[in-house]
Amino acid sequence: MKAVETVSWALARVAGAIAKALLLFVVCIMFLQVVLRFGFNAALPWPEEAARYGMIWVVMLFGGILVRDEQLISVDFFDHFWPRRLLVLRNLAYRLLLFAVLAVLMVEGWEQAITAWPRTTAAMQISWFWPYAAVSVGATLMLLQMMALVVRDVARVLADGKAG
Amino acid sequence: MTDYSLLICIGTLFALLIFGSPVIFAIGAAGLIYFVIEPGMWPMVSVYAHKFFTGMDVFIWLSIPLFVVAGEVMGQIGMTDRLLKFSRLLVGRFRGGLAYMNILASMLFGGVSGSALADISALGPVEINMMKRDGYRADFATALTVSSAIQGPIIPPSIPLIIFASLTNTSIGALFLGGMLPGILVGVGLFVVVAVMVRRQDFGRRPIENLTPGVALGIVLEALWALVMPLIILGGIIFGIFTATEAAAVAVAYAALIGFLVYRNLSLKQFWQVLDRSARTTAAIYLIIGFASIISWVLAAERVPSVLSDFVTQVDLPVWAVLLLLNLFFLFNGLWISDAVQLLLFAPLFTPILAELGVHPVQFGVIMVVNVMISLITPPYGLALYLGAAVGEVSLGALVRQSWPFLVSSLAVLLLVTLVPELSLALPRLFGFIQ
Repeated sequence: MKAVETVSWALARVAGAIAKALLLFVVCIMFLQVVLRFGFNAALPWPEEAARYGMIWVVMLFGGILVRDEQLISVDFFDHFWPRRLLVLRNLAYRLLLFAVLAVLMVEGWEQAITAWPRTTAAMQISWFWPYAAVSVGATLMLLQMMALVVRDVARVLADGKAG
Repeated sequence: MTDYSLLICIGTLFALLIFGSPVIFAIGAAGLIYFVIEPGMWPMVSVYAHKFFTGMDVFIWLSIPLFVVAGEVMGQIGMTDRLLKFSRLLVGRFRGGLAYMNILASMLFGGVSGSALADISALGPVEINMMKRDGYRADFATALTVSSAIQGPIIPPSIPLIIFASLTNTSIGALFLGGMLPGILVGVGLFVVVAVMVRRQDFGRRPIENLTPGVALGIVLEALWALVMPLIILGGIIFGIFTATEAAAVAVAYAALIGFLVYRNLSLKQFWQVLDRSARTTAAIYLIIGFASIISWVLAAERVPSVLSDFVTQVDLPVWAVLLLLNLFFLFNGLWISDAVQLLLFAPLFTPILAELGVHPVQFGVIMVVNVMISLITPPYGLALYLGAAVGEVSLGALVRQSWPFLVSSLAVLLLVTLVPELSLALPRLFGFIQ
């Protein structure tokens, strides 16, 4: 259990640091673009594209962190009607369906990135692989963090069972 | 098309929501189910990842993280405290002064931040504690804080209005101007409710102590930095100097400069924390956009827009009745799904249909945004209620009980905005955005 926690923490830490740096980059280049356009009448061709793709990476890298910290909003209004043990089983059931969602995004996102490898983006002239890969990488991170949550829930039930 | 596949999608969405699944994944699963059960769709499942990506890859969405960062910086550097003081200066001397202050501060903060939840987390703790110390009940103070926060995203800058503008190709400047009067009206409605309550309850007057003209001037000057920000954002967009995204970038730079150079209370470490909070908020919104784009594609594939359009034409109801029915539909949905999801799914669906009936997209945008903001304070899925209950340390039940007079006043404003188009069209017309 401790190893799972450590891996989950490390993944969140690394992804978070990269994403925050990227967000700072997005903020800076967008402001730079405004300054260049108004101050020097010389807007650069690439910042808008870089900001768009950069932001998608920020979002996908933070997706796993939101899963880990259980910050994705849900309707937990009815939770107190469920017995605790059944609640864990219920969560396990819906998480299996969510695994499927994330697995499809992971696999299809990767396919999309590989297929797009030879094509280049309009302004930055980088391979389309790089923007598209965000979907697959982000889905993988979310999947891993959700697995860590499942392991945690199951461990708690087992611990409760022993204590009971 | 099979009749049942769309029904099963919707059923999956609601079942997962009731089962406590995170909303974004419930939407994602509903979209995926369509590819699984609709004959011939599984080989096209690559569309799923493609739509998810292209849904997020829109330039105007960039204004969302930028406005979120600007709002977070403003909160971090204590701009909220200054706005509270300024509000107390203006309305503290009346009976129920702190309650009025709460509403006015949210109205002013609405001109800085585009999010109701940012309002509750930035202003809420201070407002609720001040009111509690002054003898107000915690659940009442929290209910007022939560209800006044919904003004924020109606008054520009507004993330929901940006989402609507982008999905329906409506001018952001026109929508921002259109939201101004209705947003202020929501605040005025709350003022009226508090004024009625003041007559029956023993709310005190709380002017600023030892107030001299010099102190008052100091308070105004300190708040001026925040009060200027909406002028920069709105002025820039209205007079065609900036696009919304550029205005948002300028707002971040402006807020950061005030923090680093004027107030000198923003450290690099704190800015890093601001980025962390902003990335979390933005990621949640973008993920909803990505997954909702898949559902939008499914709805289009199932020809739902044309079916709806035919239906509205056939029932032959007057426009006001159609708008009232739509309001009821959105309010019902708002019990379960978030503001952004409703905008993403229904704004592109209904805007063209209503335009054919003569409803201006700006008016419909404002109606929709006021409506989905109200859904933030309706249980069981009222995001602002959950956050308010945590911030004010009160039970959800008590909070809901105290919120209803404010809910009724906001619903009255929604009705006004629905029945009186000029409330949302007069300002855009005045500035030449619409004819």
